[in-house]
Amino acid sequence: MPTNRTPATMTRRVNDVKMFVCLIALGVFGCDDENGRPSLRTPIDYNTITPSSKYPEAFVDVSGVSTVDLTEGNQRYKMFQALNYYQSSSIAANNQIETIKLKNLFSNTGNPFSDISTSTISVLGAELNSSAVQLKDVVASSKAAPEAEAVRAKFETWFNEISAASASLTTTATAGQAGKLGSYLVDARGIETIQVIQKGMIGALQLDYIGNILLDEGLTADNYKVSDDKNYTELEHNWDVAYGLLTLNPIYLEGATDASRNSVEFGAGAYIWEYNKTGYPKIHPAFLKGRAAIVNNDRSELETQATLIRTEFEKAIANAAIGYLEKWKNAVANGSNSADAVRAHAIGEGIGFIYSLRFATIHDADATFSDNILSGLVGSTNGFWDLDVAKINTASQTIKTKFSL
Amino acid sequence: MALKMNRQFVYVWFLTIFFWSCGGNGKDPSPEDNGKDRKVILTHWVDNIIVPAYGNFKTKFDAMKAKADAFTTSPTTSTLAEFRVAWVDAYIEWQKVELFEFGPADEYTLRNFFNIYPADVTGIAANLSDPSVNLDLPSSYARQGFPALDYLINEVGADEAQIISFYTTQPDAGKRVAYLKRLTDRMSALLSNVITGWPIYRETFITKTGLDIGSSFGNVVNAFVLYYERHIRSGKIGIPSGATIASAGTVNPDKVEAYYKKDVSLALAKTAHKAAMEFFNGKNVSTGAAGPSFKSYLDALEAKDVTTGTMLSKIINDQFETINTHLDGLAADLSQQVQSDNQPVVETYTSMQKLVRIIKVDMTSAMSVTITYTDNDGD
Repeated sequence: MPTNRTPATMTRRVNDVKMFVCLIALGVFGCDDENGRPSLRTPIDYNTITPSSKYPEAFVDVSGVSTVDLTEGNQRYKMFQALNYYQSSSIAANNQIETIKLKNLFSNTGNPFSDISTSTISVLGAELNSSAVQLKDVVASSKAAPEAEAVRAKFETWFNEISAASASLTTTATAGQAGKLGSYLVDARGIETIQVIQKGMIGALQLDYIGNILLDEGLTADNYKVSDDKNYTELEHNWDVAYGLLTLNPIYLEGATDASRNSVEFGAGAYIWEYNKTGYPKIHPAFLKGRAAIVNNDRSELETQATLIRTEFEKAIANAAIGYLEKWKNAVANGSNSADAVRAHAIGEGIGFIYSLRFATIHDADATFSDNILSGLVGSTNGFWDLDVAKINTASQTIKTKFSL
Repeated sequence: MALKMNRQFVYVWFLTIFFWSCGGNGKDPSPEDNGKDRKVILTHWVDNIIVPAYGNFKTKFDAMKAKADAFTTSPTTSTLAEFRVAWVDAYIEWQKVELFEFGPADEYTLRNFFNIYPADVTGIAANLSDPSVNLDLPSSYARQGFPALDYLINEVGADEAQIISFYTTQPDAGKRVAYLKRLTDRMSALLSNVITGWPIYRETFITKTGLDIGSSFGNVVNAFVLYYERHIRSGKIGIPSGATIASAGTVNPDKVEAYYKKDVSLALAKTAHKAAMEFFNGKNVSTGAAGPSFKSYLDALEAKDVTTGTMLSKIINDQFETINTHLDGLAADLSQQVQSDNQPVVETYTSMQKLVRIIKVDMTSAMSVTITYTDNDGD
């Protein structure tokens, strides 16, 4: 042991002490809670999980059996797909859309689901019909009852509106006349309701249930005993439901580059990639790390990852809203769609995303914020048909300011 | 020694955890070194290209405006002739600024009000009798700007005398004069908004130096590629020749730019193409010297074709020149060219499509800029 320490070795000694404290802190993860209850799981070294780890396989109990069950999240995800597919396939085939059918798909009433098999959708009707879950009761469920009910009623109003518009599927839409603009069905005010429903559902279903329920109050759920007949705790399951409602894939956005998504995603999963290029690569690692933090009973890490996911999700919604407003500005005819059709499609999507901003609670947005933007944008008699660049800029600037974009 | 090894191992292990938890911050290196400093490029663009180009356009536009006012005050063969000449001059100069549809021009969507064609002749007829019609709506885009003026000074009568009478002796002549005046006044006001907007926007423009969505560099790349793809390749060449997928081989001689003037459509296309090429190379509008640009940035990044090792900027400039050669072989009146001998126009489109692929995919990829204007969500 040398007696003369150089400043360099002194520094190293200090660093070694810091390192030691850090390692102790890491070791604490596996400890008991404040009431002395023992952790249920063997601690996971965060370093053993890589961004390419498959979510369902990364977490197992002592006997090596997965503690992950994505069924519930995936079922609601597929219900969302089915609700959308009923509308999109009806519009493509010029078939009348029935309000009651949409309401039943929304609330899983009367065995409304049937099999769907396309290149991007795979739904087994019987599985969804016999599931215990539905979309409607989780939509806007973070809100107080009157507001939650108002959101659910709003969706049902849109169901009525798209049904009414679908009576004019073979008519060309003009101001005051519902019908098709190119391949898109719009109402008498030029609003493409299917897009409003779909993009509104990204906020009311996915952002609200994932961000404001499961990854917020859901984090206080019990993590010290497994649920009856299950291999997971309530807290583990909350996190898994969130993941399963975001994506059907074991690795979210596997192989994605900024230019090319390279995997099938729908709803929020697609738009987080498209409209948050700095955020999307963080989402899968955050889901893994947060799930590991649950195993470790590492509350601080868990909350860090939950906040990251929610923040990036909200930014994607805000960027999407702005992005579609911008598409209105520089629209040109595209294929069989006229410039008007391209503009209507962009605004339908934009309206849905702006509606969804009310669920961006990390950024302090609320219903008043969303509704004021929408009222200024398309609140006039002829809605879409009355739009000019000044209205677009006002909406865009309001969102940019709120979300610091 | 063993202790030292251990210590290093622990450091690496700890740092790995640290960086994993903080991942995603390494995307934008904000390069400071020579040629990669985007603030230098942005500053050169605004001070030495965009602002002077708008200045040059304003000179030509104001000259046209003066001739338009002279014509509306007194519609005669000589005021009409002078208006027409000034209209061509201004339209040509417009081609050197239409690509700057970001910042103030994007805020006001200048292009939508200056150059959406073909002119909506039925709509113009309706507007002529309604002096209060809202010209801000998209339905009015093709009823104003250079294309509407083209129709109003070149097509509303079989000869000059009839065009004069359209504004003097025919019923509603007064309304027609008023509409013409309203259009040029409106263009003047919009142009002023954009020109006065630039000094205010300048600081924001040169300080948002990132590459993310909403950054100045990202916006300019997107605006540049969008403009070349949709408005030069498709608008000026692809749609008239029927070469775009949407036109499916049907020639559209009536969809050329400046359709009613006939013999300037090629000059407009060549000017726009040249402006895009010069912007790519950072050509100073006042001195003509090359400056900081997409080219210099790509060179600083050492962007090359992986198989041949050729600099990407050279591949792009070579393609610009190939297109120039194609354009040089076309007739001054593209409308006539697509009807009499369409093949050279289709070939021009093909060479432009090749350029679009290079700048939209290879250039943006090398720059780590995301193209945001496409709607690729497939719904």
